[in-house]
Amino acid sequence: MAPLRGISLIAFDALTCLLPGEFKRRYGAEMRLDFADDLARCTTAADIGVMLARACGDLVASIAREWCASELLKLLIYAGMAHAGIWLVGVAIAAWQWPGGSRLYPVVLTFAVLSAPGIGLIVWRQRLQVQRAGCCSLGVAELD
Amino acid sequence: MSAMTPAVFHVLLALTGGARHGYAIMQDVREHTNGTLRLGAGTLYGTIDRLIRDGYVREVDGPAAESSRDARRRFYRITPDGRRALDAEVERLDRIVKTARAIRGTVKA
Repeated sequence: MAPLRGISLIAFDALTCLLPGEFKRRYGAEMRLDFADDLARCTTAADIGVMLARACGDLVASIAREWCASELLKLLIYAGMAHAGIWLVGVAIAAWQWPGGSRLYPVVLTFAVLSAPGIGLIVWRQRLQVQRAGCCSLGVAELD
Repeated sequence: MSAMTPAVFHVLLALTGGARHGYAIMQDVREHTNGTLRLGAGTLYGTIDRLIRDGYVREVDGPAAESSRDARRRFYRITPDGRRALDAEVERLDRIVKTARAIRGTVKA
């Protein structure tokens, strides 16, 4: 039974790693304690299997739900859409055949120039969040 | 909050009995529902997180821990806003049940 319990904990930990960082930092340890307590109550291998399947199913649904609710995912989607747009602009400019005959150069240049404000904005947002957290007397390390 | 999800409703209901940690809430919900609703850790803490953000639940200092294991747990308590929301939901459900009974009674008669 002990190896099965160990494997179950490893599987649970592996899935917990997929939760958004902030949520994992806040509740990860408690979730593991609860799972370990449930695991300790199981008396047979079948009990452990059922409990593990139930916990993993719930965790997978929670991972999807928490990521959908997180700001980071929205930011990534916006950034992805913006970058796709920037690439298309670059490709359109490249079609004009710049001096020197290179078609790749304008794409890369456009991508780099137009991406800079976006990257700057993301960095600025992160710094702002850390500063706000500092005002609320939370540790910066806690917020990452 | 208009109609609560079963998880939100039962978590708030479990907290009316006083401050509880996550695992105790999980067990209370299982007991209240005769095992028909089993909250997984992900659903439970996701629900608690949203309730804290909405101001319906707050984190409090727990009683003196009996073991080091309990010392690592956080305790949660329902706020007056949470209690009001729960009362409103109980009334809403009560009205639904009364309406359903009245309709059923009419149909049977």
